[in-house]
This record gives sequence, structure tokens and C-alpha cells, in this order.
Amino acid sequence: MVIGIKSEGKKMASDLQATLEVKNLKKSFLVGKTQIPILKGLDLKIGFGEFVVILGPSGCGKSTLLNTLLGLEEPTEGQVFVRGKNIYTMDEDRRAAFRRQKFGVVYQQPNWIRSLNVIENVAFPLNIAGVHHHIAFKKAKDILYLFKFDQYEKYYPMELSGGQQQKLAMCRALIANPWIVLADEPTGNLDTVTAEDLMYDLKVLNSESRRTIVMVTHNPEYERYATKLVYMEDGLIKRIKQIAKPIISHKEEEEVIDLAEGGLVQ
Amino acid sequence: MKYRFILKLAFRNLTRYKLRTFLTAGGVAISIGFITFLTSLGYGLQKVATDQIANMDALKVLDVDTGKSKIVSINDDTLNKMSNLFGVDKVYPVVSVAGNLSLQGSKVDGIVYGKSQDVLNIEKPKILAGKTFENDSAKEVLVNESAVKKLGVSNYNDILGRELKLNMILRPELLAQSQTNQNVEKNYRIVGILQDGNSPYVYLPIKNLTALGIVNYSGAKIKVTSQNNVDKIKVLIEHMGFKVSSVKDTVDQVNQFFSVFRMVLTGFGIIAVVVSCIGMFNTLTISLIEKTREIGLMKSLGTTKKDIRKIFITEALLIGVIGGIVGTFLSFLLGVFLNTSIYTLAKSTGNTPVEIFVFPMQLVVVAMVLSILISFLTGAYPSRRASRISALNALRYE
Repeated sequence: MVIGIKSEGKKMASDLQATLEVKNLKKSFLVGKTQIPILKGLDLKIGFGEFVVILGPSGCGKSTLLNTLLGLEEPTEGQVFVRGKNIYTMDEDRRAAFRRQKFGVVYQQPNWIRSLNVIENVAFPLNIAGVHHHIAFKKAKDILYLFKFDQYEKYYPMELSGGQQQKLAMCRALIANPWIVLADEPTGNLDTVTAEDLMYDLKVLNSESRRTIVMVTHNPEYERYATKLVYMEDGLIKRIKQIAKPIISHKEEEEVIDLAEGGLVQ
Repeated sequence: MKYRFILKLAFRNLTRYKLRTFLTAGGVAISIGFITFLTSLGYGLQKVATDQIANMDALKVLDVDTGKSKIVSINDDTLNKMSNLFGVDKVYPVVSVAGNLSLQGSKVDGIVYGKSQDVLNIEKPKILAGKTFENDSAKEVLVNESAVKKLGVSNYNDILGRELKLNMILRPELLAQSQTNQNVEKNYRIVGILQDGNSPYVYLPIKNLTALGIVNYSGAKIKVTSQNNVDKIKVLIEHMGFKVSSVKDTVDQVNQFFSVFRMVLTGFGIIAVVVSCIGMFNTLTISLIEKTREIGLMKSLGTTKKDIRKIFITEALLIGVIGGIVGTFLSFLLGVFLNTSIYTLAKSTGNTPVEIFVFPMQLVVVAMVLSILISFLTGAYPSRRASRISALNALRYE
């Protein structure tokens, strides 16, 4: 008995812990009276500091996978682990707190709180976390300056162009200093130049700031940014292609995470 | 999320749709204003009515008589017992006898009341001309309006200072030892004219009657130390075998009537409140549907269900409380305006000014509590629904 537990523990330690892991993930939606399966049993491991690009035709379940990783959609079956923690064992409010501590999100369409202006929208994730409004404002100002948005801070987001809005959404995703960034077709509504610009930002974020990035797209052009490619079709993973393996020491990983999570007041 | 931020967000959401917010809060203001207005009218009318009946002193007075009983009698002995009861301030005897009033040949039947000055101080009868008598044994008399008219005198001042001949019939039960009615005739100087009364009567200083040999009084007035003791003392004296009535009984009845009346008025107000609740509920639900995407976004950024519920409840509270404050204030202004108008009108027409709107502090408190209650009631469902919106569906929502 005792020996059994010990040996299992050893096995876990030797097996390198994935940063993000999904096990036998299934998700179906109730449409009318029938269950429509969207995800039909996915297994995926994502290591720290990877740039994962998930490719696949519309309706293959890419976005659902992303939202499940975010903790927004409880899977019908299977588990999602973030650094070994099964996130769906937490209740919804705990997951929300967990999400804002670790994840940044960028969607295809930038969604805004329309009654708030640019700087307030960018500062929003910090306000959710209960950060003092002076600090939240200061941080938002800094990040807007970094992305050259400082002259727009009193505008309303809807007054800006699609590309600007998407960059702004990046600012919002990064303000709380997350170490995982999820992007759902972030370039979907953009022209090629603006899209490349945004992709470059993501690349820098990945290679220099060591953020783990998971991006969903149906544009095969972005394959070149990836360290890992995941091809999806009809609710299943068809193929996984490891292009490069980011070499990040365990110590460096801890540092990045500590820096990211430590900066945010709960 | 800090409450300050929730408040800011709720406030921004409301100011984004100014007209809608204005109309909804206006609906709440009208309904809360209406209900406070009607209730204050109820209070005001009640106050006018009870003020007419009695002043505060009169509420502390009990009227005692023997009723139909032949066994008990009110004399100095029983008065003494009554005055020894706990909570009794003073006891005054009252005597009334039937009599005949005559003035220069005209005659009229009436009642002669023996009153002490203390009793007159409590009753405060309105004197139209002249003054009240000097002391309890003065050979003076107060005549009421009705008696004066029936004696054929039109100018009150003509009669002042004249001698009134009183022929009084003393019933045997009033006297110490007598089996038959005793007739007594005396003259008194008229010093004052009393207002009101449909039948003729006069007030005579009580010692004039006791001097005639009256030992058993026809009644007594008991002044108690505090209004709260009235009911208790009433029971005690009733146990002694006397019949007791008090102004408080009448006032209680009037109060009872007005509490029903007020309830009816409040009922009308409640209908208005229900209508405004429906309006507010409608606004909140529409705002929820419009904000489905925003709620989805907030959730995906890590907002908890609890915080989303708080944002919506706060919006409801803002509408409700602002509406409540404005409504209460407007109804207060309207009440003051009407009171002033009535006052000026009454003054110019020579009537007694009355305040028909009264705003007790409790009414304001109740109005505030009510508006908060409305907010929670109407905000509960939309905010719960908002917190349960699925982020994924909401973000797909077009």
C-alpha cells in the first residue's frame, strides 16, 4: 500500500509537469433536445513558454477548446489542468479569480464595456482584482504608453479603428501581467499589415517575456510563429507538430510565474 | 472588485442611457412621492381632527358619573378615594341640576352646572364676551349663547352685569337627607357668555351649590398625571362602580378611523408603487439583455458571479434610491406649498388656519426603506440572471 503510493509519486515527479494539459476532453451542447458533441475527446499537453497555434476549419471546436482552457465552459467529460491543478474542481467564482490571475485573453472581436473609456477599459482587469484605482490607472497609463496609445486614453474604444481596438485588447489582456495568453482569432478582422504587427507583438511576448501563448486561427500563414502546431478537425485533434522546444529552466519558469502573479493584489 | 468601482460602473451604465434612467427613476419618484403625499395627508387630517376635539390637557381628563347606579354616589369621601389612586393628579367635583332661568320676565329652562375654577382651567370653555368668575364662591354666573338667545337678548354686552334669577330643582339623591325635590331660587350676576351649546345652560361657581346642601355630586373630573395612565385609572374607577368616559375614548375612535383611512390612501399609493416596480423591472431586464456581451466579457476577464450580481443590484439601488429621495422631497415641497396656500387662504377669509399635510420623520424613513426594498425586489431577478449568463454564449451573442 505504502509502496504503491510512493512509486506513483515518483512517477509523477519524473514525468515533466505540463503547464496546460487537457485529458480526454469532451464537450457537447444541448441544442433543442439533442446533445451536439463539439469536442470529442482531446488530449493535449502544452509546455511552459510555448507558442501554440491551433489550426482548423470553422466549427471544429477550436474556440470551445480555448474557452474550456480558460475555465469558462465546464467540460462534459475529461479534465483541464493548469500546472497540475484541475481547474474544474473549483467553483465558478474561484475559477474567475484563478483566471484573472493567470490568463490574458484576446478575442476576434474586441468586446468593450461601452460606458468606460479606453484607459478605464484597459484598467478593468485590475479593477476586477480589487487593485486600488490609482495603481490600476497608473499601470493602464504605462501600458498604453508602451503600445503608443497614450493620446487616445480618453476616447471610447468604439471610436478607434479595428486594428487599434485589437491592440487595445492586447493591452487589456496584458495589464494584469498574466503568464498565459489565449488568443481566439486575434487577427480575424484585421488587414495583413496590422495583423502582422499584432503577431509580432505576440511573438515578442513569447520569446522575450516568456509568456505561454495559445492562439486559435484558421490562417495557416501563422504556422511560422508557432513552437507547436495543433491541427483540429471535427472536434478531434488530427495532428500535433512540435516545431521547436523552448529551453526554459525550471528556475526561470518559477521566476516568470512569481513575477506575473506576485504583481497582482488579490 | 472594490465597491467604489462597482458604484462607478453602475453609475456609468445609468448615465449612458440618460432618458431611460430619468424615466424609470421618475416613475419611482412619482410613486414614492404619491405614497408619502397621501400618507402625510392622512396624518395631517387626523391631526386636524384630533386637535379640534381636544388639547393635550383634555386628554388627561376622565369624566366620572354614577351612571344608572343608585348604590354608589360621588361625595367628598369617594372623591378622596379616587384622588388617592396612583397616577391621579387632582379630582374635581361637578354638579348639575335642572333649573329655570329668568331675566326681566323672559324665562327659559336649562341646566345649571356647578364648576370650580380648576375645572374651567381644564375645559377652557370659549368665552364670547365678559370673563369667567372671580372665585369658586362668587355670586356670578356664565350663560351660554343658546340661553341668551332664548331669553331674547341679541347683544351680549347688554346682558353683562345684569342679575339672572335661577330657580333650581335639587333632586333628593344630591342632598344629605331629603325625600323630595327642593326648589331654590337665587340671583346671580352675569359676568360672561359661553360659546356653543344647542340647549340653554349656565355655569355657576360650585360653592354656591354646595352651600345649598348638596353633598352628593352628579359627577367628577379626574385629572391624571400622564396620558398613559388614563386607561388603567379608568378601569380602577369603573371597578369602584362608576361610569367613566374620557375624551381619549373619542380621540381613540377618531384615530382608529384615520388609521383605516390612511391605510386606504396608502393602498392607492401602493398601486402606484407596483406600477413603478414593473417599469423598473422592465428597464433592468432590457439593460441586462443589452449588456449580455459585456457580461460575457467581464466574466472572461475574471469577474465573479457575485460581482456581476452586485453591479446589477447597485444599478437597481441607484434608480430606486434616487427616485425615492426625489419623490419624497417633491411630495414634501408640494405639502408645504399646499399648507402655505391653505394658511394664506384661511387667513384672508378669517378662518382658523390648519395644516393638512404633516411629515413625521418616520414617514421619510419609511419612504427610504420602501425605495430600497423596491430596488432589491426588482433588482433581484435581473441581477441573478446576469450572474448566470454563460460567458461563451454571451460573447457569441449578436
